[in-house]
Amino acid sequence: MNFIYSGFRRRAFNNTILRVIAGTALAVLTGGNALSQNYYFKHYNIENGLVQSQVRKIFEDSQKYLWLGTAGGVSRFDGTEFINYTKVDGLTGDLVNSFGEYRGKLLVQDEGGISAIGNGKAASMLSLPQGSVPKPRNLTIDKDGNIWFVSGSKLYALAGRKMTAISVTGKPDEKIRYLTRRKDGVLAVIVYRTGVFCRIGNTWVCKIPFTGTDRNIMFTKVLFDQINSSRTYLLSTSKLFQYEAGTLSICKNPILDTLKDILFSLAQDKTGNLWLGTEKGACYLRGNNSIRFTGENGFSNNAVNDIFIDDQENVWLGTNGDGFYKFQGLDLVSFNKIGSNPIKMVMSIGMDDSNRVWLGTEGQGVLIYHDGELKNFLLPSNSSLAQYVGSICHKKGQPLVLGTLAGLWMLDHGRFENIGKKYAFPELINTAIYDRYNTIWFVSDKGCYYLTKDGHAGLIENLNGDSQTIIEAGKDSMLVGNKQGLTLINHKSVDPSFRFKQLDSETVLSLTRYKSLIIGGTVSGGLFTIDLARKKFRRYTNLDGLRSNAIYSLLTDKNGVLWVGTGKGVDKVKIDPTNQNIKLVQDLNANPVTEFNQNSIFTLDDKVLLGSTNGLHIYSINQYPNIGQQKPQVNLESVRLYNQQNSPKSATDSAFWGKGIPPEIRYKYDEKHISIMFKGIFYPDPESVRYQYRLIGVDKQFCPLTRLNAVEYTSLSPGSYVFQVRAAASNGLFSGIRQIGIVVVPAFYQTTWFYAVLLVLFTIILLSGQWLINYRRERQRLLFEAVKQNEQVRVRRQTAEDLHDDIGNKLTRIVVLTDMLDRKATDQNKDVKSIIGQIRESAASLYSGAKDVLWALDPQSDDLHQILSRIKNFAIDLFSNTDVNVIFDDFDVFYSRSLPLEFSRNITMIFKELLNNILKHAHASQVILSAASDQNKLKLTLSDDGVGFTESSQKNGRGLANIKTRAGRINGDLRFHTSPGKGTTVILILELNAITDQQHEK
Amino acid sequence: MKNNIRVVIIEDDKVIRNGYHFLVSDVDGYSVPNSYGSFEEAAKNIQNDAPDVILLDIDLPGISGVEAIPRLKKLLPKANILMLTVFDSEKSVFDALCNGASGYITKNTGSASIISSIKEVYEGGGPMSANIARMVISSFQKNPDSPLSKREAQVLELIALGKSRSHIARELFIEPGTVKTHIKNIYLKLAVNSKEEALQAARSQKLI
Repeated sequence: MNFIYSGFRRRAFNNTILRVIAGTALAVLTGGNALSQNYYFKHYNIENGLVQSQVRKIFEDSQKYLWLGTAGGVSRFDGTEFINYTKVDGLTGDLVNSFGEYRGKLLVQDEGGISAIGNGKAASMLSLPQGSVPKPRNLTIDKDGNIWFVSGSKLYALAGRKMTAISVTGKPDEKIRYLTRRKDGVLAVIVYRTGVFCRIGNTWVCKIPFTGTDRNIMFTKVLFDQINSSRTYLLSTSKLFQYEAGTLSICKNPILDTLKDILFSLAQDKTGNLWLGTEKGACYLRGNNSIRFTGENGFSNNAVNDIFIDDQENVWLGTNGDGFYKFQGLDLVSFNKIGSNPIKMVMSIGMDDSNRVWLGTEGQGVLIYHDGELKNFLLPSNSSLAQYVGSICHKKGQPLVLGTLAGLWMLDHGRFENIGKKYAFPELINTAIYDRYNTIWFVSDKGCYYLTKDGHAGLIENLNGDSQTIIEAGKDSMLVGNKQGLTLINHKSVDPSFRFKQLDSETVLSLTRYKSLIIGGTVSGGLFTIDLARKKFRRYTNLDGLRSNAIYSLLTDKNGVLWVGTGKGVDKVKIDPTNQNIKLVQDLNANPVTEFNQNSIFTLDDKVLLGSTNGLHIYSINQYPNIGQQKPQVNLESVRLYNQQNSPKSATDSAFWGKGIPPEIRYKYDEKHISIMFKGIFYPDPESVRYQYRLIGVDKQFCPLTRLNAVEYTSLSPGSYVFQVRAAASNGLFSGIRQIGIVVVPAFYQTTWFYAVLLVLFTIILLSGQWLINYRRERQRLLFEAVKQNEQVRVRRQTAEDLHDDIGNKLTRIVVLTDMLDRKATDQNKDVKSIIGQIRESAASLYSGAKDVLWALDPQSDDLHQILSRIKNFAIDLFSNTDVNVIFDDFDVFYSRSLPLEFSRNITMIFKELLNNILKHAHASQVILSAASDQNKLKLTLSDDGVGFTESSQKNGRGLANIKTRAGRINGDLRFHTSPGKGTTVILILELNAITDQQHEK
Repeated sequence: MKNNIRVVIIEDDKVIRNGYHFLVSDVDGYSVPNSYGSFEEAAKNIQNDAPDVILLDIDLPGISGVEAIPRLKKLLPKANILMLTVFDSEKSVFDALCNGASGYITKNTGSASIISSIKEVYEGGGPMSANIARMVISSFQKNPDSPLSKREAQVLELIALGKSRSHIARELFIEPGTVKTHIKNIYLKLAVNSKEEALQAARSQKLI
């Protein structure tokens, strides 16, 4: 609330209203009614979604869902949403008494029996026809997982669908009043008029015997103290008892001593303090600081059927007609009413020298806060305008000044003095402060005024109107916030050089100092800080996390935390003066949406007081209880698998809910969608829950915080994944991680096998292709070779033919003509005869040479067998009409083998030459030709038993040389073994390359 | 007076033809009634020449020497045909022998051996050189069921090894005349005589 838009009506300054009140004591302030504090609870009822407003039982399951049993069904609550079950949904009845968690399901006990809720559905587990079994209640699961309950006055154990009555004391008329279980899982019962028994092993042991008159007391509940194990509490309908050291006594407590209400419920928090639910509200018992909560101070006037405190110290209270409440702690109390009238506005706050906090209201005078009590006083004036206290100017050691609609009042030595009239100050004052010289400054819509100690008053010139707030910036300098931003007043005059353009059109409502910074709040532009030394301006808005951009009040508490009173509640921030960075202080203090008033903020001890549009809010600087360490809880709610078509008709392949969600989901790859829903539970601040999730296998990190609580994955490729999710709360803490494995089984065409086969096939194809190419290439090469070969053959044949045709007959001609010449020449002419003979010989040798060439040209002659045969035939022919015995020793037994071109000619020539030599010179009687092979070596041997020779004795030197040359041409190893008279052996060793071997049969 | 052995020469090379004409007719006991340059030419008149021996060149223009053999045989059933060849290539000579030639002469041999060959064939023998023997052997290798007798095969083999007739006779302990007979028989069996049936037999034996 700010003054600009205030509903203050401007009144003319009326002298007649002025009073100078003389008085020595504060007693002139009339009134003094103490105001009652208001406490904060979160309230949930049918308008929020609760199934019915009469809450009879509250239970929290292991997943931290809160179950409310009402007179009209069951609600499951998670902080924001309700899921309801009634008889229509499968419950055995609507009047719910108790809950239990059993084998992953939630058991509900109602008047019709016991149902089990699991996977989102309710089903009957034990149906008790109406009237068959009276009032089934107190469903309990012991530490061994057995189900027990009380019905009528009997204790029953449930096994399957069979209920068996169990006797505790053994007495036939025993009446069981109540069944519960201790924190350690041990069952405890109250047996009427007998005592409290605990089930140790299989026997019931009496822990608390009822003696004497105690036996008549109708005990309804027993509670085992979780702090002090030697103490036990017992509740009756009218009193609270405690049993300790063998004695049962009534609890003493300021509230209890005078409480007359019926008592319904009992619970104990971690600090050992008790909560008591009565027929009208509840009591929080903590010795002298006990509080009674009713409808008058923020709770309900309804009976409190059940109080439940979970292990994170959330206190839940179920009422009989008002739904249920969550206690928000004592960090915040407020004063909203004077008597039965609401406090309309707390406009201003200040403190006097007696440490009393003065609060000005709009028309209701002042409130004075002292010793935890707030009292309301009216100012001593006949005019009601005086009760509109818009500003309070205070400083230790200086008189308190109140700015009212009926003028300025100074409280000096117990006297109220109206000083406004004397100085013609305006009546509507927004803010008033003392500076270091104890000069009072006050800003109003008419400008900025000051009043010095010695009574000198003045108005600052050239200051644009409508000033809102003022602070002392330094020696002789004041900063004024107004509709044009900030103005600096130096030595009582405006400093025009001081200007921050960013604020030119902003209305600055509040200012404060913090170390080297000036911090200010604007009407809609958020918060700003100015570093005067560096002249750096910085702005913060809701984008930085502030809950509102309307900043009304600012205050730095003793911990250096800046409290920002906004139009929507309080923000607590920390600003670093070195770099002007802002950080929000996250805590879980109650923070209802409130519109705070301009400059209406004050701190005292460990409290911060803020004036708002509905009273005074008092916040504790420290938290109660220590809920800053509470972690949120995240639960997987559902996992659904469905097909791509996504129409409402398309089948959901499978769906899992809650505890029924398996640790791993497997499905075949087929364009399926998997949708996962989860919920984070954080009762202190459910709206602040955010989520982070990731899919391991796809994401490396968690995604940024998001509000979305559902995620969908489409068409995951085959593989193994893990989905993980966690929740984060406003206190920065994370929940544990919940996860589910997802295995997408590849379709056959995706398996490694398939790929392996494909790979193999591919390799085969590749190799085949390569082989094919090679084969083709080879064939082509062979073809080419064959063609070349054919060409060669053709050429050779052609040459042979030409030779044949050409030389053949021409040679013959020479021979014939020579013959004729010989015939015609007479025997006398010996010279002629001799020449003719030589011609004939030459022709004959030419002829045989031509024959050899022709033979060599024949491609068939490249064959080893052919060559050796030829040599053999040549030898035969050569020695055919002689007495020489030619012996062939395996000479031509060889397989046909192709030899290179030069082989045939050279081998044949070598042997022809050798054989001719033998014929001419050796005078041999026997010639042996033999051949042998050894791997790739061919050894040809020609030996004769002739006269032998020595190389030097060779007449025909060239013949041997020729032979050697020829041998060299074919890399043959030629050896001669000869000596005169001992015959000759010539060995030719050839290296043959293995080419084709064809069998040649002899 | 002994009759001259009448020799007709069919040879397309003029120089050689005239040479042989001179060389043969110059020898006593031999006469050359005519010599022709081709079979076509000879066919017109050869019957009139009534030769005993025909020297037939293997390489003739037009109808080749080998083809001419059966025709000549038709015209002159009693004549012996000696093939003239420059280089004794196995195929054509063998074909000629199968067709009915009685033998062959390489042209480069001196006139003396030509005369002696003519004489031999006139006297009913058949010159079988080692070369021919080898060819015969190799032809038999093509045909598994050889019609030759064991003796004939032995003789053939020894001839192929270049052994002389007398050597063969000694080695096989038979008379030289028997060797001759064997050779003749071999020729017969090979259908190298001018018998049409033999030719057909040879053909049907797939030797040709």
